[in-house]
Order: sequence, then structure tokens, then C-alpha cells
Amino acid sequence: MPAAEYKVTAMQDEDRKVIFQMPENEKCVDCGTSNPEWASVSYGTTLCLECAGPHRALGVHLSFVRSIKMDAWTEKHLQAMKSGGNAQCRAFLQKWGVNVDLDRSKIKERYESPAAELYRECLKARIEGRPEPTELPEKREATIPATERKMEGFGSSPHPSTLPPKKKKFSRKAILAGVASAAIGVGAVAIQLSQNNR
Amino acid sequence: MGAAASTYSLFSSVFDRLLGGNKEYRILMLGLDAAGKTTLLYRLKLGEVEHTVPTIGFNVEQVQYNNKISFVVWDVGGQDRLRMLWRHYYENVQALIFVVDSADIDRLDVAKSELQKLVAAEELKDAIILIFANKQDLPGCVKASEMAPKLNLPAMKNQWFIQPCVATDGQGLCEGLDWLSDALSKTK
Repeated sequence: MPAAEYKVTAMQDEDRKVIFQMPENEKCVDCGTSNPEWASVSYGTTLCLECAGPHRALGVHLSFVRSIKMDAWTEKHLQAMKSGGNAQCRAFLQKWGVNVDLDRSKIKERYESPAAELYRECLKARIEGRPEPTELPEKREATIPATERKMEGFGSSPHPSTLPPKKKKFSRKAILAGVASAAIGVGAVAIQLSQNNR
Repeated sequence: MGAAASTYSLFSSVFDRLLGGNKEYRILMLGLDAAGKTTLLYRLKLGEVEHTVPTIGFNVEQVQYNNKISFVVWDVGGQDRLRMLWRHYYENVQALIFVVDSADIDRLDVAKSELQKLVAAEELKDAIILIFANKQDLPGCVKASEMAPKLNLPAMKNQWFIQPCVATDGQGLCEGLDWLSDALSKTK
């Protein structure tokens, strides 16, 4: 998506009105809290702050979360909200046997389900004017295993682990030990002198 | 009393130098909304993952790293309207940690333009920049080698390093902070 579509445009009052008049949108789709101020554009649903957290943890491929009050809205995202709605999403998932109880702890399993993927694809197809898919996709691998990730970094200066170890003439510990023993020596002499002076 | 205090501070700073210092750095952590800034902060601070909700405002934590370096990390919310507040946190910042969601390919352009605005700021012209390419565990994520040109990093005047990571399990975080501590220790 080109950056030009991301103009900072707060959601306009008329859009907000349309969205909140849709059935069940006045309550968080996942826990039922009133006056939700967040949204999942992927499902065209409204969310409360507390449910926005686990939604964001799913990753943007499963749920793209926006703040209704604090984020910029593109025309396409607004269209997703107007084509979706909480009631429709819940009914769709329920039809495919997904648990849609108002329970925040169910968010992960709910939206990682093949039915949720089908609903995301249906909504996308609807917005783009394509025929909606009807078959459940296969469940996909949710994450890449640790050993298969590409973890090498790089930059304008090298990583310290790639540099040869520095040769030190004196270690810091040796210097410190030297300083400490010198201090003890000086102290001992001072005590000796003060006793001699008495 | 004053003389004693200043003598003490002189000695403590000399000893700190000898021992490798416990210098405190002020670090600003920014990035688009849902990049993983708060998760990263609490992973560094507590070594475990907090279940986070969107940050409205900011979080600030002191993070001790390797008994050697102490960071005061400011994690500021990333929603569009909150990004206008970022500039209020620029002052006296030695380093910037810029967090990017590597799986949010549609918004890499937005991340790039936000980073360009940051490096153009006078207060950040000497800041050392660590870019965390977060969420390397998600399918379809962009690798660091592909992300660097997309964010226009090679053209940046600031000293920079891009480190892939997974904030939720901690992979890559130490590597990033090792580079940052090394780079900071070489500054005056």
C-alpha cells in the first residue's frame, strides 16, 4: 500500500456515527465492554482498550488494530469497518463452530482459527468487489521456529562481537589492585608518622 | 561538607571509569503503533513478557544492562496523534531505539518517513540509532537485509545498526544492546 494512502486523517464524525450505529458495535466484540474506542480493521469490529492488547499481539496478518480517536484512517480501512460490524463477525464465527463467548482470554484461539481467516478473506473480497470465498482454509503455522529465523544484524559500524579482542597491557583489576595497595601503604605510613609524633 | 561531597563524586567517577563505568544514558524508544516498544521495554527490564495494552502517553524505566551500563528508556506511544508528541522527548537523548514490526509490510513506508523526520531533528543529529526489526517469528516478515534499504538506512548520517529480534521471547535483544553499549562507550 503506498504511503500516500496513509494521510493523517482522523475519523470524521459522520463516519464514526455510521460505524457506531451498526448492530452490536457499541460494545466490544470480544468482551462486551461499552463504548469501545479501538477497532480491528481486519474484521471490521470495535474493541475496548484491554482487548486491543491481545489483538495487537496476534500480528497484523491476523488483526490490524487502529485507535478510533488517535489514529489516521484511510478510505479502505473505513470501508472495512462499514462492510463488517460486530454482529456480523460474531454470527459468522459462530456458524463455523468458533466459541464467541464474551471472554477476552479466548481472543488468540478465536482469531487464529481457519474460520477467522475465511472471514478476513470474505471481508477483503467484499471491499475489493471480488466474489467471496466459501471454503475453510487449512490451519497454517502461526510462527517461525527460533532456529529458522534470520537473526544477523549489521550497520554503519561493526558489531563488537565481530571485532578481535583488544590486548591490554594492564587489566583494570590489576590497576585497581595497585591503586588499593598503594593507598594502604600510604595509610600505614601516615598512621606510623602520627604515632611517632605523639 | 560540600568539599567532601565533591571529593567523593570525583573519586567515585574515577573509580567508575576504572571499573568500566556505570554511566547512565538517556534512550528514547520510538516506532509506529504496535511495533512492540512496550513489550521490548518490559522484556529488558523484567526478563519476561508483560501482556501489554496500547500505550497512551509513555512508559519510562531504568534498565541495568550487564552491570556495566544503565539506560533510562522512554517508550512513547506510537498512534498517529501521539507521534506529534515525540519531539517533546528529544532533548538530551544519546541514543534512539527505533522499533519496526517486520511483518507489517504495508506500513514500512510510514516507518521510513517517521524515521527520516527523527534524524532530521536538530536535537537528534548526534544520536546513535539502533533499529530493532521486531517480530522475526511471524510468517512473511521482512529480513533485516531487505529492511535496511526500505528504511533508507545506508543514507543516514547518524551511526546506526539494524538488529532482527523477537521481543516476546527475547531473541536478538542482547545482540542489539551489545552494539549500542559499545557505540555509546566510544562517545565522549
